[in-house]
Amino acid sequence: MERRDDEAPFPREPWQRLLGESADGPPETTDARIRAAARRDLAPRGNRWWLPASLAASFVLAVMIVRSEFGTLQRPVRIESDVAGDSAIDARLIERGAGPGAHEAGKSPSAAAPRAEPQRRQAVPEDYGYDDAETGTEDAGVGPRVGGPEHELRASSELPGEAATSEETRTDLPRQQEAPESAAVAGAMPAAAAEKSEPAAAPRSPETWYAEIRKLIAEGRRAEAERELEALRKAYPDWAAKNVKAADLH
Amino acid sequence: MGVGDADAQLMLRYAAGDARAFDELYANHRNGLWRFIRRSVNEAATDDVFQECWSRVIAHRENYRPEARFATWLYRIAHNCCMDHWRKSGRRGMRETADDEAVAAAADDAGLEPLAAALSGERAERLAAALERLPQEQRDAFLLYVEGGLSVAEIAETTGVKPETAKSRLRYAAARLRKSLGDAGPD
Repeated sequence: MERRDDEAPFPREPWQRLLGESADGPPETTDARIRAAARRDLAPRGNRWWLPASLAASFVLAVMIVRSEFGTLQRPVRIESDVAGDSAIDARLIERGAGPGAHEAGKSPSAAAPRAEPQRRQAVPEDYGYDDAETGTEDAGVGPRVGGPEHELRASSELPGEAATSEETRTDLPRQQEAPESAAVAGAMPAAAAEKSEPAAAPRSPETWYAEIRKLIAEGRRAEAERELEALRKAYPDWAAKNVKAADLH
Repeated sequence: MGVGDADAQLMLRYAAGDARAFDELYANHRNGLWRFIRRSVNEAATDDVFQECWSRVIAHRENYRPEARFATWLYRIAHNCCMDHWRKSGRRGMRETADDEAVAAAADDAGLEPLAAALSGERAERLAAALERLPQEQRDAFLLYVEGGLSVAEIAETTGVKPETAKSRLRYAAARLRKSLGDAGPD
């Protein structure tokens, strides 16, 4: 370690010898630790591509889960409002979103809610295939799930004068639930409700409409068929004049 | 090729991936660096500072350029580690004041040839105790000169002072240590 230094103020060697005697070296554990660190640092650093990849995969998975959950919850709400098109249903959905607190305080925006309450209490599991208590959605503010108690919504939307027809409409529900979503939206629409929500609902072709009317006749539901036929004639007068035959209606 | 150059080559070999070169390099400077750090910081912190110093050597191996001797580079790192330690602990542990009159008197004797007396454990202990009583700047300069083998210019660069200041500190440190050891001096 000695080197020539023209400016050396004094020789190093005597001091080095004296200092070397008086002091020890590092412990063996420290030696081993430092040598191990030196070797560890020489090891090739692995390609750490998996870290951003796993983060991206987690993000995509989380988005998929959230989207699937939202899809489950939003679909029935959209269908119900489209089908009924009644302010009472809208009010009820708002009421559910507000939670049980708004219920109890009597500050619900829905005037029809108290009317629907008794029917809700009378509901039995056989009507829906599950109990309200099982779903936990009635007071959770999330609305009914797919295949939920649609007749409840219908009952809450109808006027007192329509009560006589509600039973008839209610019996249609299981059949309508099996149909595709678009058919369920269009086919389950009563004439009165269809008139109210016509701008929002998808237009039915007269051929499809007429076929459904004939089906109602075949099933013996003449009163309903006549209402539908009347609505069809109003909507498509030219088409009805050409194609609706009296013989088909008997 | 001197020792310093050989160490620089070892460091370059280690940077290229030769682990045995590091072992050799470590063996060359292990004791000297340990003594330097042990006398610069308190004993309890010696191990931590020593490991920190070598960790920095390992971490900066790819940035090492043999523009100066390896020992200069190593002891500059060690000096910085000691300064960091004192900065963190908030104290400098050693006496800063110097008895200028006594130092000046002893400095006159510092240029004398060392006596050829046999070394003894007692004198080594007295030297260690005297080193601890030195002002920090003088002790740093002395240890960099003796243990690190740095030149006056290198000490000046490492400690951030002018060469004249570094040389003066060295002379004062040697004078005080001679005085502590008695008439015999280090030899």
